[in-house]
Amino acid sequence: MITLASRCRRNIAIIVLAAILGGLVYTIYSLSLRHTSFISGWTLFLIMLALALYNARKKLPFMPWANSSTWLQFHIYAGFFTFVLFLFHVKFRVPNGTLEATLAFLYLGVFGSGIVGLLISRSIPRRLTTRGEEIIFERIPVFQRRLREALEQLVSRALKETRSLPIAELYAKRLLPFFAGPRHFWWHLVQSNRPRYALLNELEAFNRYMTPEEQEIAAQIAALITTKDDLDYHYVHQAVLKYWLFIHIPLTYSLLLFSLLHGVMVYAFIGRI
Amino acid sequence: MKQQLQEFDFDKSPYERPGQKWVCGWAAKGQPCRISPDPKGRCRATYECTPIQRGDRWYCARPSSSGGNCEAGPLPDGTCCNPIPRCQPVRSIRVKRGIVTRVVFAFTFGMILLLLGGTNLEDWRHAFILPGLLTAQHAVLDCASCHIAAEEGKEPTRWLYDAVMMSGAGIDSQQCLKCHSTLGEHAMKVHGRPLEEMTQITERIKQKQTKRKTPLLLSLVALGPGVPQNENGELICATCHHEHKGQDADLAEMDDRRCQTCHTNKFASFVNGHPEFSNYPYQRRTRIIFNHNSHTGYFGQKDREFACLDCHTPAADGQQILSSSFEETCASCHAEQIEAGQKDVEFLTLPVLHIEELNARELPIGQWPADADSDEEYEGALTPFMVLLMSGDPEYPNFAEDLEICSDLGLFDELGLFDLSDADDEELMAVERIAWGVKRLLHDLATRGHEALRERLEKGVGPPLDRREWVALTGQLSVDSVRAAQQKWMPKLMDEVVNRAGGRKGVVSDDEDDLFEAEDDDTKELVSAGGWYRQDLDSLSLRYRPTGHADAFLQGWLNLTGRFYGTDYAAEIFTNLSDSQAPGLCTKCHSIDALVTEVVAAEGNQSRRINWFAARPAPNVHKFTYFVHAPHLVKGCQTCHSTKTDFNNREFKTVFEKTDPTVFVSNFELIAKETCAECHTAKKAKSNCLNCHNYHIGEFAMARYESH
Repeated sequence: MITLASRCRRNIAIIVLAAILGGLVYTIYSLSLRHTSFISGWTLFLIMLALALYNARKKLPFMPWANSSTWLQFHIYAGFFTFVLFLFHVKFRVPNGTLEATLAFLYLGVFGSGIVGLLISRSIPRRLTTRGEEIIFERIPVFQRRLREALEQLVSRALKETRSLPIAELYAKRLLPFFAGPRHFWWHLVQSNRPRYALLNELEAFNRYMTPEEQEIAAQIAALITTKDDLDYHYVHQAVLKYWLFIHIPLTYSLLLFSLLHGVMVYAFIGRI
Repeated sequence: MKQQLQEFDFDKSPYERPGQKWVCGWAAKGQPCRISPDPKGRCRATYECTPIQRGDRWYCARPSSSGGNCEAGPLPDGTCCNPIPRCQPVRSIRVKRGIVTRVVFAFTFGMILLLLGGTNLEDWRHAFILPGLLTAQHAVLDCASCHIAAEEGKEPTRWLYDAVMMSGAGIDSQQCLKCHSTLGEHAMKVHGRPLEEMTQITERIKQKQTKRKTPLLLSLVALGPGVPQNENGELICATCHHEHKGQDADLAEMDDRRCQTCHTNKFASFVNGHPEFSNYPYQRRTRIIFNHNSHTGYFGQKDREFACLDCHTPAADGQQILSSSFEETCASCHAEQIEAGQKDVEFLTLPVLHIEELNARELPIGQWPADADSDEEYEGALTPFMVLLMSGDPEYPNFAEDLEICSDLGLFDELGLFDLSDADDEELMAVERIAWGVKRLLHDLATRGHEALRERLEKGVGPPLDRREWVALTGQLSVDSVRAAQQKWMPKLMDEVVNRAGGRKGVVSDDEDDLFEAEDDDTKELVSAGGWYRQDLDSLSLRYRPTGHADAFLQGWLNLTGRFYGTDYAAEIFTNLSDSQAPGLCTKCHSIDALVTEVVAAEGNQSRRINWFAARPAPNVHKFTYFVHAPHLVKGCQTCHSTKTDFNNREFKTVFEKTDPTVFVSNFELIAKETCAECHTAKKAKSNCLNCHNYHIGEFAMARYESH
């Protein structure tokens, strides 16, 4: 079985080779006084179309069109290749026409979101293994509810058995909002534990005023806080993994549409002899 | 101690289906039912389980993953005791993503349709499709100025049709030529020259070609698709000129390697591979006959410095080095020479005639001055000017052949018609008709003055004369002088010509007393500043004395007769006036070029051009190579223009006696490529093709936008 490093090296070599060959063809066309924009434009459009087909491929899993992993590899490396083509197509200039600038903006949006998607799909799974347990995204609301219910039971017990006011007060002010749903989205995204420790510190601050029974309950609440925080961490990262496609895919179709319009305008207005 | 949330045992972990379109409405609250909505998003929830009947008892069938058997168990009628509250199912993430995608797509499509098809949105549409700002020189143009597809009535739907069908809605390069029409009929051909001319140049270069190493990339280009040309060898303007790249874009920007795609000689750079100069920059002789070598000596004799910039100054555009005017340069030594050595131009002369013989043969010509009547003291022949003017006589067809007959008799010799005793009747009749032609000419000039001159010249040479030319040709001839001559030489000329024209005899009086006899004449001495005068001694003639350098009369006649050098009469005047010792001494310094012009080429004749001026800026002449002197002057003129050490002054003079300007001997050594290559390298003063070479070749004015 081919290793990840070997696969990367192989694919990068293919891309570099393709870029060199493409560059040579491009240069020959350019030196032959041909409009290189046609060759770079058509190649770019056809590759973008092929990349967009990946989404269709995922919807048709029964079709014998190579496995999804192969498609993904093609998607990633061909995507990088389009950036080279794009730079040649715009001739390393910032487009100054409205349609062209819109196209460039859309392309950069798609390419940029693709890069972001690649980076997060490479880094987030590793991150997820460092915190908490393996969690299925769709079940997170269930686990949140369970934690919330567990918290409510502990607080009720504290009130019944020890009449603990600090715990009740902390529950009302801080724990109830924290357990109501996913929290601290941006803090988790930047890998910060600051909100978690802030909450645990608040709980710990009450320790010296608590009876041993209350302290035992508080310890259990602290465990729940840690579990909930880990759950939020999983939620945030898995949500990012799922929601980045909300940018990448819609922009792709807009890009293809504008590319078609661009092609029509080019062929309608190109000077012929 | 942390709590374990996720369990993956088969009986504790329900199977998740994230690909389903709908999700239970309670899922967000952490209480999804295990049934989940149907594919159309309808809640199917009823009870937590469907109890199983074994015998007459009902048992709970709730799966372990949902909590296992309930304590209460089914109701007696077999109904589950835990009904599930119905929910409003929500769409899955995947479906939401699909909806967002479709909305964005529809929005994009709608925006495009609105922009392309919306009425009253033309300005928006044009602003939207404009692929970039035009260069400043084209900024005043609208889309339709260059693109046929943008013409009014060509709706956006037509663009789609044109794009799909490749129907060539725009032969857009023709639009360019609406403004750039001056590029000529071959504008779209290579270098704007006819195919045949370029083929000849290519063949010539191939013959000269030496073996050189072609750069690898340029060799590979030969394997490519080639330059896009149509079957007539034409290229579209946009092949090289790329618009819509901003106001400051350079439309003439061109990679050196792209230039070489078409060229036979392919090389790496100016320094490395560019052909050596063969005869640069001297491709023709100087227009003014000026020997730099001999003048070095003359200046030395007078102890004067012979400095280049004393006579030459850079042109305003810095491109050319101009020669200063005669007055600023040559006049100090040569003006006096020209004025002192002036000779007169004999414009109109009464030829000597054997009147007695004419009268004896009953061919009277009326009054003819006694001095012009076979008097040995008197000389006179028909001048070439008179012949040219007589060719504009309305009766010229009747006596055109007579000129040849009389020429044989000696009409153009000073005493040619002195004795006509041996002439036969036919020859004498020819003399008679010529004599009347002379009389009509004098009559015409005396009665109609300059207008008569213009009419006769126009009839004689062909095309109409413009005013400036006509004025020069008259030399401001005084009509009073003509009338005075007529009064003195032939007082009854008016009546005679009128009678002759009326078909009558023409002779009014034979009274000898009326005939003019010459007296002492000092008029010649009185016109020292130049101009017209009448001479009554030695010959009866109207003469013109040149006024000095750049005499307009001489220039006018040399220009006119040079232009029509192919005709006999014009050639004779030109030859007389262009002799190096002729009046005015014009051609002592001003060289004569033979050239084929369009006017005379049809007749297969050459014309002659006197080069009145040294080379001047010709902004409309675009040659393959150009040079801008101004930035190079810091190196000193003689860096490039060094005089020859072994120069043959006689040979230099001899070549100017001929009329081919391309055969010459230069005072200066040729310029070697190495001289330029000292500075013109890629890292120093640049060495791009377009630094020295033009693409569009020919004589044309640059296009200018005509404002409204």
